[in-house]
Amino acid sequence: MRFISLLTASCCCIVFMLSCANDDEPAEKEAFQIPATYLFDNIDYSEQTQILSMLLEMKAYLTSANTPGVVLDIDRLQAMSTNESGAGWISSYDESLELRGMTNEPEQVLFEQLMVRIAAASESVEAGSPGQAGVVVSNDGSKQYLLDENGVECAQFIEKGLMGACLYYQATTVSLGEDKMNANNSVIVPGRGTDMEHHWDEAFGYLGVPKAFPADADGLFFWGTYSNRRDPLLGCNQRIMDALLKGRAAIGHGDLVSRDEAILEVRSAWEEISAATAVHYLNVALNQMNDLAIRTHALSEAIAFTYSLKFNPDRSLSVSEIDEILTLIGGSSNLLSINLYDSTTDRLNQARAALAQAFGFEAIADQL
Amino acid sequence: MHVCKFNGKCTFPLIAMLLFSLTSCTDQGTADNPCQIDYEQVEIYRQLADAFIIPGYTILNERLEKLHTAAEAFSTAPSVQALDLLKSEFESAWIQWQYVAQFNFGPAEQVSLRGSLNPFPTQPALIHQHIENGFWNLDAPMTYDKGYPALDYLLYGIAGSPEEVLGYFVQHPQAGIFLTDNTNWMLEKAEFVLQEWQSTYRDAFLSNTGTAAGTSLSLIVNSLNEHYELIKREKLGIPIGIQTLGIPNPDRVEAPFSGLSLLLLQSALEASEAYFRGLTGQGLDDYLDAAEAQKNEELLSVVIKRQFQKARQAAGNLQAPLRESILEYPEDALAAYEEMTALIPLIKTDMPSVLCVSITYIDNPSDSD
Repeated sequence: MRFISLLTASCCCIVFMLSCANDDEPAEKEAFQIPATYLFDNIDYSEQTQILSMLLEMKAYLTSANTPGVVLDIDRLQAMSTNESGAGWISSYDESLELRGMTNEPEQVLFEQLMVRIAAASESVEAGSPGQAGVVVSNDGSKQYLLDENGVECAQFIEKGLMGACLYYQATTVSLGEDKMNANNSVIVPGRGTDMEHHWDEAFGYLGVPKAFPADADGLFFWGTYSNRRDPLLGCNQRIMDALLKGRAAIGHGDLVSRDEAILEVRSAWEEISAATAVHYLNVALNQMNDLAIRTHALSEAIAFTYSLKFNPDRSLSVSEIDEILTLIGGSSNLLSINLYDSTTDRLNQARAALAQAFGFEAIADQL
Repeated sequence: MHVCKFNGKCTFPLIAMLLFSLTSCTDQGTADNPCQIDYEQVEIYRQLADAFIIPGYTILNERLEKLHTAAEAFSTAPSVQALDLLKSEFESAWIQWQYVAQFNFGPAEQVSLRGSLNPFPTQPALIHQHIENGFWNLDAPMTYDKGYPALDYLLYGIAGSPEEVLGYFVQHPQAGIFLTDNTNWMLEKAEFVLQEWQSTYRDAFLSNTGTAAGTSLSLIVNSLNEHYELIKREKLGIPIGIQTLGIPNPDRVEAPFSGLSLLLLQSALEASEAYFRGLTGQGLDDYLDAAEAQKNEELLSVVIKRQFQKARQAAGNLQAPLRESILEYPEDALAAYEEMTALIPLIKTDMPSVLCVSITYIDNPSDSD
């Protein structure tokens, strides 16, 4: 009884490998406690919060063009991207931080071009149609989106694309990458932890969840929001949080073997959120193929979440496999050449099946 | 496929872990049904109903009656003295509300008591519109133009000084009618809830044993958690910017005009702890002890009580008015928020799993795009 309560209480579980060890067998490694929440001492991910906030402001500006007549200023968009004067920020940010510079380098030009494209599309006074940029309205009149001449909602490509090529890339590749994980782990900087701890906290910061997630779900942003949306079917909230808590606690205990396990667990859980969200949006499109606005919006999301899968060093799909799925959805693996007016139910179903198979979602693919 | 309730309060990982531990460590586990705890649930129900809930609503009714009387006196013959008395009755009625707001099930849920008496932030523009048009509908659901927050604006915010507030009411007789309509309406709601508890609901509550959704235990655990999260989010979190990546929204405090926000927050935390403890009688803490629930080799009840104390202490360190101190001392406000947050896994994850209760409310519904 007492034992069961302990386990079900579970929030401070002893690392699993030792939970069944007999007392008379010497433990190979000293166990360490994994706390229930990310309320660690000496922690600071305020830079990540700033990056998220910049993206939030950029998103708000981009989606303002869903209202016909709102023309986006390309100079302002670029200033937002590089955090320079003219960005018109509501909040204030450290000069050293910028979305562009933190985006996976080969992709930086893509986002610049997408910004040029959405700014041009926002000048349209026509409704969106094949070959004509403009705002489209859902059949029920409740939603409206600005599309480019190829039926792409560039705002989604930029926002969700940066979630992948910037936030997710920074977290899974840079912060949890070899360089940053080889950093000093003996000197504790007050309010910040060791360098290695700090880098781990950066990854946590990019997730956009509160410290007591998922019990506490107040204050979800970007990936945190999507984790929470996929959680009913994936159980991803606890999985990604457990991995982040385990890694941070392991670093604090100097257990780099457990930390390395946690790195893989974080990357795996995070990738599933992106893949499942892509499947979700494919479902939305497949269910509303006759609603141009809903379909193109959902497909723009689906493409961006599929594209994001590229930025994880332990990705389950190769870049060429991801490109094949992008081509199935939008006719091209190059986001600038995609045309959503050419999507077909058949190819979307193939894309969904490919994602579902790669991530073992077959049983839930219809419900996602 | 395991199906989760609502937006994903999955108990599956815990269950899986439990099963795994039983099969892999059978020499340590027992086959006891974890839901069978040797404890008389009715002891908690009786204690809460007779010592906390019904007395709480009784006091609320008394204070709302006094508030309404004072509002009528002020409305009939506006004076500084009448306004002072009205404000004093208003404060004590609002503080008492903090003790019963958390019982948001049964009769209270039936009349949407929480959304009726305390919807904030209030919308001054809407209130002015009502007063100018001479028309309002307090029964309209989900509007932010009524209850305590509307009174907070009417009595403290509608004009600069108390003399100017008085002047406003003298010049706008409709404001007095709007005021007394509100106090009367609030009283009616509270009377209904008290009468229901006294007539039939108490007995139904005491006999509704078990752990399934809808049982009294489930109602207690869920209402405690739901309201605690609301305290954390609405009274402190949103004002300090937790939903806006740290950009503070000081105007979103509960009582921006009277400056009572901190007192209300502190009262609400005290009430929440009392709910958990069953005041000084049988409460969830005793139930957890009967289950021998442990956390890090300590009684879970002890860990929870300690965290309540830490949260209350951190909130006690803040300065009134909250609207200003969250800007002046943001680190203290964040520290209080984090101590409040640290309680959530204990009461929302650990406690329900020991007591075999599911969390069934939908928290923080996120927008969809």
